[in-house]
Amino acid sequence: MVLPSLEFLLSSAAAGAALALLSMGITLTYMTTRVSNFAHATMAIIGAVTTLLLLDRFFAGLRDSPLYYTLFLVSPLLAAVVTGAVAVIMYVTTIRPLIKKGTGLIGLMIATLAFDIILNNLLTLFLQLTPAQTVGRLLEANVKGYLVPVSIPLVGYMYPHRLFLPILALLVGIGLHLFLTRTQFGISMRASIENPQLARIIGINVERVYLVSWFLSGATAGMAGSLLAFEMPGISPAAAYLYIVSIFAGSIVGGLNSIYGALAGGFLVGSMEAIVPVFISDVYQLVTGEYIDLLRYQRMFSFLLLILVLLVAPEGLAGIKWRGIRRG
Amino acid sequence: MLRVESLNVGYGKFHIIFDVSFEVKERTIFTIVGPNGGGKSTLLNGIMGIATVFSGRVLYKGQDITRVPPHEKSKYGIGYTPQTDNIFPGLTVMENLMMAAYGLGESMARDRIEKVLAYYPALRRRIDAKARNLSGGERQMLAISMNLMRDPEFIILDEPTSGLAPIIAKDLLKRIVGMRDELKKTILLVEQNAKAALEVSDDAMLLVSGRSEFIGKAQALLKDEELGRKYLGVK
Ligand SMILES: Nc1ncnc2c1ncn2[C@@H]1O[C@H](COP(=O)(O)OP(=O)(O)OP(=O)(O)O)[C@@H](O)[C@H]1O
Ligand SMILES: [Mg+2]
Repeated sequence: MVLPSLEFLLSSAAAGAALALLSMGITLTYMTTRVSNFAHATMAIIGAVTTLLLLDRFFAGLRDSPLYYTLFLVSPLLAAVVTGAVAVIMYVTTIRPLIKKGTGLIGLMIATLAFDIILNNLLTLFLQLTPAQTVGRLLEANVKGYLVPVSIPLVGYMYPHRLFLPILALLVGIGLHLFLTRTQFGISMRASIENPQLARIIGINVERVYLVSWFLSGATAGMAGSLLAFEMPGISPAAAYLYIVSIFAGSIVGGLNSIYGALAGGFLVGSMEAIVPVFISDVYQLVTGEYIDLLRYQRMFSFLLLILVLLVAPEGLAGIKWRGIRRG
Repeated sequence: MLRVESLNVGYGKFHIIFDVSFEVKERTIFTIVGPNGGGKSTLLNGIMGIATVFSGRVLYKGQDITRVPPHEKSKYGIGYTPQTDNIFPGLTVMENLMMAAYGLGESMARDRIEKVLAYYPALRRRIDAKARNLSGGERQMLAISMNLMRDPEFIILDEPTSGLAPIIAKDLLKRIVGMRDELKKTILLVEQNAKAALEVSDDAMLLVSGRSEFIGKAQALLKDEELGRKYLGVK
């Protein structure tokens, strides 16, 4: 399979899109409140679990109804509301009081790590407390099990959700751009990021801007997680600890201080992680006749990319003077 | 209109302003002068609630506003233009003005922006430019326009003429006088160019090392030879 199939490319694009959303969210709260949020991946897992619970428990009665398929669109939105709320709770109970006390960046970072461990443990506990047969199914299955592949011309049979993630990431990207450039509240968010003190002086409630940025960050994480539930067999809270490093990698590759950079960086890291190991495995097999599964070591490739980007462009993708390059 | 009662201000643990009291009367220009690092900007930041107020009170029209959060103060009709970082460089001129009109409502905001652009036609030509690309003079125009967006009754300006060419600085000072005489505003001004500012001011304070060395009529400070020689470089 040295020439990749369209379906493989689409699933890699879905992985890239999920990470684009996640890296964007982590960059957003970093830019507004200067907090590196280690609990971000757990938010995504909460989104995934919420989606599974919704489809498997709450909406199970609708399985034979034509309405059922719309639930695949409704669930990510509901998951987004849940994780948005969790992020707001995290900000109000932990982060904001610490910022008011003058806690430094390292202290805040550790606080998010502490919050993450508590949240992750609570989630595990919650899953163990739900009836055994559901948990078993939930943790092993992915949402794909609830979907029927459809026939698409030229591609053949494929799962429709493969298209959801890239489209959703694109829509969120465009929506966010319009929000930040066309709406008063979006512009006030940029103003508060640039100079919170001046923003306060001219009458912007910067505190509210921060709160909304945490909600948006949590909501997009939940949405990404909800859609990842389609791809990930066996959702486990522990997966958050693997994801979080890729999310940060995407954010750093993007330049850490640019929302658009984070979308691009996340996409690059996420799709690389999916494509490169498979490609190298295939080439290796072609040459030696032996098969090795490099997918298990996928993060080594994304972090190689991270180091390369930092060496070539220390300020990430957003720091590169793209216009200058185009003009030569 | 604005009364400051034995205010003590600083940043964190640094105590910079000591027991400063003064009063700005309606429709007058009150000018604060003094050597660099004397605490003029810190005093204004204390009044606005950006620096830490250790003790003392700020009364606006008789109301205690000492602990009112900065973003609420603009609703009281107080406009403040800080000495530095007084525009958003990454936003366009239009976006800067829109932000300064935040919460006014669409038609009112449009109306005010139109008025301000009529007052500073040079800004209209740069309306879609990023503020970081403005010249020093244009920046200062934008900063003052942002102050005026909410049509404040009380205007605080921290060294508005610094870095401007002498002719432009003179024009700006004339406009500030116009704000008092024609627009009926009350102005609290900090100026490096002491002589020119005091000549058009009603009252004045000399702030040295965080303490007020003189409060009274601006003319009296201008005529005080000893203080003038010592702190203001006037002969
Ligand atoms: N954010 C801050 N944190 C700590 N100290 C500060 C801060 N800003 C200013 N200072 C200190 O406060 C003192 C007074 O500074 P301030 O800017 O108020 O003086 P100023 O009279 O406005 O000076 P200038 O004429 O140069 O504008 C200085 O010693 C300065 O170093
Ligand atoms: Mg100053």
